[in-house]
Amino acid sequence: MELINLNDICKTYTKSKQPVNVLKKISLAVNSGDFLGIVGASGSGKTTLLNIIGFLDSQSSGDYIFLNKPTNKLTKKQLAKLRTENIGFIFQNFNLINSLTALENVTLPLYYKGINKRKREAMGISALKSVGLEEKCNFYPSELSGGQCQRVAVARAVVTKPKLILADEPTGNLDSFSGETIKKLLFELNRKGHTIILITHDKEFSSLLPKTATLKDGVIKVNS
Amino acid sequence: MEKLIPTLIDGLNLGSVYALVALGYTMVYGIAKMLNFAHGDVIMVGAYTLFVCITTLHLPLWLTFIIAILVCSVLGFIVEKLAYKPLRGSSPLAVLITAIGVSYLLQNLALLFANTKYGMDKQFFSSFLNLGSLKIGNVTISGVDFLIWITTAVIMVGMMLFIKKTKTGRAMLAVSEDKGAAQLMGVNVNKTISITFIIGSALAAIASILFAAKYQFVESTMGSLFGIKAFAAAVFGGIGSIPGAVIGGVIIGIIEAFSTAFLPGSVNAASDGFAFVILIIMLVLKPTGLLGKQTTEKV
Repeated sequence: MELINLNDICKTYTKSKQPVNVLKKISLAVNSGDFLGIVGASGSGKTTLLNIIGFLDSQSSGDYIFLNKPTNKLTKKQLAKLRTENIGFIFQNFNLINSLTALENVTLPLYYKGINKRKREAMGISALKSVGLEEKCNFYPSELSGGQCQRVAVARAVVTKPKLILADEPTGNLDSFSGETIKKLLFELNRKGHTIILITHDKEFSSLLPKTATLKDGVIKVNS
Repeated sequence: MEKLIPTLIDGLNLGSVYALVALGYTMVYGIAKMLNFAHGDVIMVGAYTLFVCITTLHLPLWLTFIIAILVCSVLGFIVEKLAYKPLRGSSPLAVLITAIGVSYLLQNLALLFANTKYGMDKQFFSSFLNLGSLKIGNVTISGVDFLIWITTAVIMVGMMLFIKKTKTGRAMLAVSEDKGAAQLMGVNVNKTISITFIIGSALAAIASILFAAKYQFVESTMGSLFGIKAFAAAVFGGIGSIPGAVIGGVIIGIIEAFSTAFLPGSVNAASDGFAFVILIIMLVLKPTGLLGKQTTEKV
């Protein structure tokens, strides 16, 4: 099943009154269950593309079809709903809430979906278990290592059972051992059926991915 | 020596009211990352509302309190929507100047209203809240004193529980730490900021009720110095921290009361300034304030 279809997506910024074309006619299809790596030099437009896919930014032109529905005419509120219901995010800097425990961080997205406390906690513990951190439920981010924080962030991204996981350099801030753990975890999630799109600078990691796309000066080239 | 306990009581009263206003400053700063310099003037609006309801409309006291809280909450909501929301993402300086502008606008509207309606802007309440008093030895503590202390303590604990235990509270916590991540977790950031302004303004209304009950006057400029002292209290306690705002408020109130009571006549006219001297010393020794947390910005 086709999850994402980008057709001639362009993104233009204005810098010092000069238009800058960050993305040039990007066409890309991602199917359910895919694991796609986006690679390219800094400034090539990777994060802009990921932001557009995650409805955090909008394209200047082109069509974005998500779950077989065009998204161009949706309001900000409708896009936010689409995002919260279908997409989980993992960031390089983990972006956990420091004054909440690991379990509270993981259950936060469930809170705003109106799920009751009992069910929230059960789902949170199960998500933490899936990343091997069930015994750290009541630990605060400051009491966890970088790798453990990122595993909590992965648990938070998957707890709502999203159709798509977007990860922006998830191993970029980790030592090699913790990085390996996160990579294994992402492959495992993909095996379980999660569709993943990630940005990485790690050539070894991208060489293991079934599908990669290279961005160079705003132009995409898909390598299968 | 016989002045010590009454001065302490004065300091606690003043400090508790500062604390309630400081809570609004600290919450708005923590969540919207802006200094709402018009916050002090919300107290003034609350006090005028009380004055009109009590002396002109002769409404029952309970209804007066509800009206004051509602008026201030709606005012906080409108100010945020009209003046601050359009500036989201603008430079902090633009927001700061706007806040100062809103503060002067509220003061001048109040001045216009009071001058037109009553002939002058400073007005005095008759004693509207008589709760008796308690005599311990030579010291008399009024019921209003107790009401001020208990209300402040209950609100501080209530706010801490609210932030930690409720859905809206957690949204506020998440927005204050990481607006972007909060949004991705499904938190409605704009709604959370609006709620913060409404709660902060409601607390300012409660502060105005306690202030009017104790000091029994209202004037159009009362909010500006009050606001600056409450802001100093929030910074003293560590801006962003709820118990910090209350502790900061109480300390600033006590310093002010003691400097007024014990310094020689020629110096105590400057008692307002002593709280700020202590604030500067505090910031030199501990820049994050008493309970503030050091945050590191990753680049």
